[in-house]
Amino acid sequence: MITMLQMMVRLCLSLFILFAGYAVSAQSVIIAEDVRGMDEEKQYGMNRRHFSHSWIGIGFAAGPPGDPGADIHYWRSRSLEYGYRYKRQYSNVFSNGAELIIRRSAYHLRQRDEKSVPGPTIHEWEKLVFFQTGIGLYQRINVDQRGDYIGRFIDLGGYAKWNFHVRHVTLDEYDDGERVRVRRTGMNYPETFDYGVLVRLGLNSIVFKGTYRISGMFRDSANLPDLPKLTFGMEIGLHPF
Amino acid sequence: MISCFLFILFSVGNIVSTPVPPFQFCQHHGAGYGGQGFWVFFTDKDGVVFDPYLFFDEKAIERRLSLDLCLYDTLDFPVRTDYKDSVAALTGSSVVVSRWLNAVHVYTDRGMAYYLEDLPFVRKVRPATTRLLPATSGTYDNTGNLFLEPADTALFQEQIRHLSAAYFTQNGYDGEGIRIAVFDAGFRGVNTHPAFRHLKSNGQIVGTWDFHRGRKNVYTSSAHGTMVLSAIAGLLHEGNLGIATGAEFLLARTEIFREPLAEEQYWLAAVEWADQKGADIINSSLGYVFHRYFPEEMDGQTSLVARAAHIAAGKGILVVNAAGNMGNNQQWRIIVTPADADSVLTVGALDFPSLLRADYSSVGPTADGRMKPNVSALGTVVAANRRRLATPSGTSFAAPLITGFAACLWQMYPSWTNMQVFQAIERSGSLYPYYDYAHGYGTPQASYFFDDHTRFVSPRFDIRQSNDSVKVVIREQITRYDGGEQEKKIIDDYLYYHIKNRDGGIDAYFVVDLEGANKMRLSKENMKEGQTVLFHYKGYTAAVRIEGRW
Repeated sequence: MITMLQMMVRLCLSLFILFAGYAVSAQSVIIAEDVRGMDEEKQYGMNRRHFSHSWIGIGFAAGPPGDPGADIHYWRSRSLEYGYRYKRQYSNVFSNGAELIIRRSAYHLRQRDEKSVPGPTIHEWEKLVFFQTGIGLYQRINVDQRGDYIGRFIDLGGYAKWNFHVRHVTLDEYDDGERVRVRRTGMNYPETFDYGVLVRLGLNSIVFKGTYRISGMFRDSANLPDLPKLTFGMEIGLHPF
Repeated sequence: MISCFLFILFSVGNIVSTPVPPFQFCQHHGAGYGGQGFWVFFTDKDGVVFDPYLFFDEKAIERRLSLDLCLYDTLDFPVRTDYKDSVAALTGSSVVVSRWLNAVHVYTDRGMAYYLEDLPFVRKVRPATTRLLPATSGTYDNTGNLFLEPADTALFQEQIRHLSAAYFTQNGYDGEGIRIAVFDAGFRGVNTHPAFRHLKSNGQIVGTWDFHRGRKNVYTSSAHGTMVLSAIAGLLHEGNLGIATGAEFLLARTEIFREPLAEEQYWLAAVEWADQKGADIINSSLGYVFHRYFPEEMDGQTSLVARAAHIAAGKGILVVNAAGNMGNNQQWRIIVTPADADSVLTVGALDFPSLLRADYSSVGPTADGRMKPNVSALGTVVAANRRRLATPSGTSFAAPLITGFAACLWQMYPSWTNMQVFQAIERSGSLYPYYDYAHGYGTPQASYFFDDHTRFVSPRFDIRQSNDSVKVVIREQITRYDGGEQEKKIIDDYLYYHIKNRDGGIDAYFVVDLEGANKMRLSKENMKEGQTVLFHYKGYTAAVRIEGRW
């Protein structure tokens, strides 16, 4: 059993030794390199067995809607993504992997007479924003010999996402000039999950991506025409080269 | 000599083709024409004709004769015309022909590459998709005029002084008679900048070639080569920017910034061109890294450019290459190729004013455990660029300082071979015989060749080994610096030590600033019996062998 006094004595002794050591040799190590193990075979790297990195991306909705009532402003309907990707390499050509994705996807709805999503009411502007998280699986095919970098590749894969938060936002201007912005959440018509397939073409950290959503964005019970199923976009891999 | 004679007999008896130039440019000058770049290696050079007196520059003949090298080396023989023509006809493309590699570079698709590999005269086919990186670290500061800024004056003086190059300049050694080939991305402004006026007026630029465009004008595009040349031979009213102001120059543009995949064939072709034109020294501030290779392939044998550099060294050329700027890249860190070749004098960069390794400077050892870099020099210099002066940083600018040094040394000892110059430069290093994988043997000192370099360096410290520690006790009183903006550390103020294993390789190395202390204690806790610790302080080097605990 160590008493409080013994602990105090040990502490004082440790401090004395520490400061005494500095007083004797007040040098500072400027360069310290341990080169042992530098020649060990590395498993982790951009063109090695294991590699992982985060990425950011932007995508634009494309393709026709399910019905003119679900028409959107294409350029303004875009998604922002952040993901973390793991790659397992099997050969110089083939790899596969998985990724975690967080995504904010906004669809700006056209305000026309035939509009039906999510309802027929016409606003100054109106959008549906889906906040999603999910996973993706992909098979990668590299198309050239290369050193320790990612190189050119084609990814074929699929994804599944959970719409953990959906927001319906409208802006209206009344006769007295007052502009009212309304945000609605907790709607019962969005689907809880969506899933689809993807293709990516990449050169190192620059990746062009297309996705096709197989699932609908709205529940069958809502009887709403689906939003455009395609997106095209770009990702930037957050890795050294 | 016998083998040389046999080569002559063999060649004369099998004449099937006429002599061809060492490299040829056809219709394609860049990646992406008709597919991917491939090297096609041939099986033999049977029956080709070669006359060295027609092919080589007089200076190249002189170099070979002075080094007692065979003039009829099969490496120098041209590639067989029928092989070359067959491949060109099949692919519709032939960019560069390499005599030394007995290969042609073509653009074609993968299917054709497989087909070519099956031809009876083709030894192998391999893709060439390498990107060459100039060894420049980041952007450079443009001082904006031809007059030195006060802030740059200290750097300007140090870039010559840290090599004690005044010994050369004051004794009339300026590289005269030495021919230096400089490979770089462009030499914009060399023909107009006042810092190179002496080269122009004396006709010291004896050859130029743009390997990308296939023309003589290299004074376009990048000014990276301009700054490199400045560090070899630049001259201002205020003094020398480089020390080999009397040397002759061959300027080769081998790298293209705008092209995403500039191929290594330009570098290979430039080496053969430099050899043909009689270069004594090649300065290359370029290197290949991750696009084609892995760090574990930096063994001096894997890359084509390392092999070509090795052949060039075998021809008597001193190849000086920048170590590379991957030192702070945790994925890579080590030297680039061709700096990994053992016959290449690899130059690391030092920071100013600490004169310790700049953090960007690539470190050794090579993948097969050899010491690199060989020596170090300042990585930040005052240099002439397109119109003005700049202060660029990178191992790109350390290498030309050593190239200039080597030219002066070779002028001083003209009978030396390239490898004698190489070894003498290492021996003159400020740390020699100590070395580490960050600084090599340190900074070459011209004073070594003028003072009595066999003089005895009086011991600067004592080593005392006890049961649990090794203690270094400095014999003299150390003056402690107070710091501040004007603080300037001299390289000799640091205590260097490395721990060597029983196999002779370094396990770890350190640089310690004693900061006024006159002793340093190393715990033996992490050391093993039989290891050697080598210490260096102010020119004095001593070792201690670790004994077991008792």
